[in-house]
Amino acid sequence: MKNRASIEKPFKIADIAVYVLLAAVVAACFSAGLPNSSAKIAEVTLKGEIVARIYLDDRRAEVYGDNAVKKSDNVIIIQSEAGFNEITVDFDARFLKMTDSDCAGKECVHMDIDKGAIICAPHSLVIKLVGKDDSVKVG
Amino acid sequence: MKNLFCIAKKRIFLYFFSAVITATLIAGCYGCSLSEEKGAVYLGSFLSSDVYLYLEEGVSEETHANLLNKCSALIEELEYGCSVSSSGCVALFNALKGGEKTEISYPVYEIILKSKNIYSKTGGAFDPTVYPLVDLWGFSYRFDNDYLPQKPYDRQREQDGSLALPSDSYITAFSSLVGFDLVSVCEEDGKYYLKKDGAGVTVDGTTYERAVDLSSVAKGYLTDGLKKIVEDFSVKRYYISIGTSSLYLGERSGGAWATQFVDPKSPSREPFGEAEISLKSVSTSGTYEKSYVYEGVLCHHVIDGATGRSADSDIVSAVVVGDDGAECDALSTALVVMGLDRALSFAEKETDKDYIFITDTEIYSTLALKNVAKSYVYRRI
Repeated sequence: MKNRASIEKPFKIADIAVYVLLAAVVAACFSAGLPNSSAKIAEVTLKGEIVARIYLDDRRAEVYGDNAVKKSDNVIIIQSEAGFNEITVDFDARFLKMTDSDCAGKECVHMDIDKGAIICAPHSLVIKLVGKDDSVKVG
Repeated sequence: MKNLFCIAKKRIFLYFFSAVITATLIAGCYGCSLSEEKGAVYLGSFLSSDVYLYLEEGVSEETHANLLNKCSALIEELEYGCSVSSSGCVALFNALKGGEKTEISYPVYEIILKSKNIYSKTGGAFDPTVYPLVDLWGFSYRFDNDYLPQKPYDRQREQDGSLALPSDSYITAFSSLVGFDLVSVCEEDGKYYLKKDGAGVTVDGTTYERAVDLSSVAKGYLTDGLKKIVEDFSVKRYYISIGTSSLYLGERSGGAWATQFVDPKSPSREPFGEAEISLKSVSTSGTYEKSYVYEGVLCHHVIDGATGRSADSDIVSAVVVGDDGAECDALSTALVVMGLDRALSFAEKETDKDYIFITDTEIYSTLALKNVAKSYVYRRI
């Protein structure tokens, strides 16, 4: 009897560990891995003022003010006294990049939006992801 | 030894079983969301505005395709009928002389009836026959994109996008063409007709006839039609938005749609306030939507038929919430024309709807708003 008990106990702990691991995997999938659960909006600000919003889920972009212009459905040009920037959006991949700029260094062209932001410091231009907006706009 | 082997077998079996369940759960959910269509669906363009359907609940690919087809067909049919620039019934009507009539489709007949209702309720503040004035002041479809002067009264665009003011002779002449009373509908042998009365007016040798533009009521009417189509497919959790100015908000899981109203003074379209709305039509009209300033004079697209000019109104934007999209749409325009005092009296009387009026400094609302912008004084009415 004693032998049987001592053999069974270690297994029991391993059991619990496996089930907890499996539950954790399922939970992780639900919260992060499934499509439609990480919807994104990118906000483009020039000197702190919002000049464009890119709705990566809804496949559209809006530009505001005189400094931002839509060259096409997925290309936005920002032109200010500081200089020129071009943003290209891939709606299929829900991704965007700074594809051109006349700033010195062009560091912004190599930045990855999925790390949180693309910043063109010489032009005071910031593109950042702001998370899903489920509200309805009227007006 | 035999016992140990049995225990081990049971354990292996349990691990395997759990792994299968887990994989099925993950694959099932992943697969579900992949084969379900939801989110924003672009339905088409209607009178220069983009029409979107936002599905909160997922639908199958087949339903999605059928829904899209039916909605697109309705949009095309109404666009053809209502557009002043196609060869549809409204365009044909506008070319008629006084005393003539033309056949119209049933939807256009319905839109005219609803327009007549709002015309009379608002004492003429909503009047589709202001169209010649809308075109004169530079706010018709001709001015949407690359405008080139074509008509005798057209002016060149200035560098800042403004237009010089039209001459008084045209303003007076086109004001004489205003009068929705002189437009009537009738039914004969199952067909519908739109009849024009009253003479045209001649300026500098060219004669202009009474003409209507239904764009201030047709978008609301379209939301009503699209709503019926969507609900025929048993879809409940959705909303429809036409250019963000005419909407129908359906159900939403967890309650209502967080509806944000755009602040007319915000260049990046920040909201001035928010309300929870569901199962209602919402329409908004504002002087800020299409406007220009010429030598200090603000010209905007909400024309007051009584003056022949842009409504000299203290209301910058009006929102109407109700059950009938066409009515809400027409009313939102009328209330801007009416100005704050008349609009407040109207809101007090016509309590089947909710209203928001925004002036330069104040917000009057029958709806409870939250997150109200600090630059406004907020008054519940």
